[in-house]
Amino acid sequence: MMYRPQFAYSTLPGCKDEDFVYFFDGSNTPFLNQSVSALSIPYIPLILDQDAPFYWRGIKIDMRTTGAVPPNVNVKLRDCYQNDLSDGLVPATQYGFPQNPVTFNGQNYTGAPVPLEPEIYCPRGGVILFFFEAPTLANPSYLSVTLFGVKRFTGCA
Amino acid sequence: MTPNLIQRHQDYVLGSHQDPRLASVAAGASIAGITLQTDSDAPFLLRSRAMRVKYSASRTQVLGNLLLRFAGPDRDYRSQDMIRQSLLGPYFGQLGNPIPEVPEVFYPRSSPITVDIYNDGATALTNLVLYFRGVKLFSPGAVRSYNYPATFSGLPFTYPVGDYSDTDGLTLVRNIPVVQTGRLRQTFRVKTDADFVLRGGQAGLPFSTTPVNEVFVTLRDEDEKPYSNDSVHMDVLFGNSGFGATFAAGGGNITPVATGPNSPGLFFPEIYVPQNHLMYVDIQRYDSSFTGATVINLPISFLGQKVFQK
Repeated sequence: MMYRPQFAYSTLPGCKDEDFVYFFDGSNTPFLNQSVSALSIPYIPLILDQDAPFYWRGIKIDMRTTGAVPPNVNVKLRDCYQNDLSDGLVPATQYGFPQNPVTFNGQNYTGAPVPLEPEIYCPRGGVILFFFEAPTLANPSYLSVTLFGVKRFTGCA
Repeated sequence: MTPNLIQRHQDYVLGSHQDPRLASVAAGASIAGITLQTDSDAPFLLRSRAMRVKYSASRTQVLGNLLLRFAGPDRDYRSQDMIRQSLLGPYFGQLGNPIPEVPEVFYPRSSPITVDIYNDGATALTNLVLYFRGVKLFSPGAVRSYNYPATFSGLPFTYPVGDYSDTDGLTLVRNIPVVQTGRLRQTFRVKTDADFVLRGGQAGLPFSTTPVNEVFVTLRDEDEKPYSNDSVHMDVLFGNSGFGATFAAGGGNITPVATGPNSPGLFFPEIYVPQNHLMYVDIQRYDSSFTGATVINLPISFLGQKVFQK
């Protein structure tokens, strides 16, 4: 095999997949409700819903700043079964930063999420852990983490 | 079709190291019959191309006035005249997203890749480099080649390359001087818990306030056999997010969009590295002509997946 093609993500019989996005920022994750300047915070829990397992297929790690230049932040994620998704901290710009930002009206707008392939199974109520480390920044900078995927419900076929 | 042959990623570099005339292509100059001979160890399938010049002080790729045509192994040109390359790809095949060549072009061993170029602009093209990307074809056993186990599970995974330091908690290619002509070697070892499939990469310091412009990378397998005939610029091999360069387009310059880890520099075929096996990453840098250039620690990330045998 020269290249493993992307796995086909079929919905199991008797199940129903619903497109779902988890968004974590200061409004629902206290650790993210602060400027990340000069901070290093490990084990930030990103708590998933109880209603259905989540099949995680993409990610965005966004940095909102009041300045024109986003900070260089290093991140790591750990799935619900304690598997690190990187060998230590890696630059957000090389990992989950959603493409070269387009700046419009003072804000950075972004595009497609960074795919995670193969998908990662997250049980209902699972906890993904987020780690970050940021240098001293000139402006207040706030992180958000967005997870893309599907929720899989059973018994609705 | 290449049944039963091993396809191995290969970048052929045609720059001033291969033909000194490419060090500076004067305004209005044309050069015909530039030739790069493919290696004698294997035939080559050309599947994509890229090109670059030395960055300007403002980190612009002044390539809008480059026209060229290239030929297959029998000097069979693939266009009837020279083509302005900005028509083929807005970023000139850089940022890990090369200009596709379909159908692929087959070059036998030791055959010529011939190029004619023309600079119709008012300024010289400095350190013009043309990249011909594709695969070499090897007989089974001629090179190391690994593959997936019969049953496995996978996990998306990112390996940073370089040396880890407790001081900053990061793995980086450390202390790259402003001029690094010899190859600064990094050894990449896959951890023992799982095999790793290298599918793409990212490299660079997009928010650096000091120039990080002319950085080149050579990937090698565990036998130190390179995946290119010369070092490849990191922005051609990998690309990056938050990219600070601009590219000549029309009468001005544009900032790249849709580059970065959602569209990384891909390797095809992917490079399968078993657990506890090695790759080598050689770094070179030539930033002495850029004011303010200093020693840097460079992040390079290998993107792919872990493979757990079941």
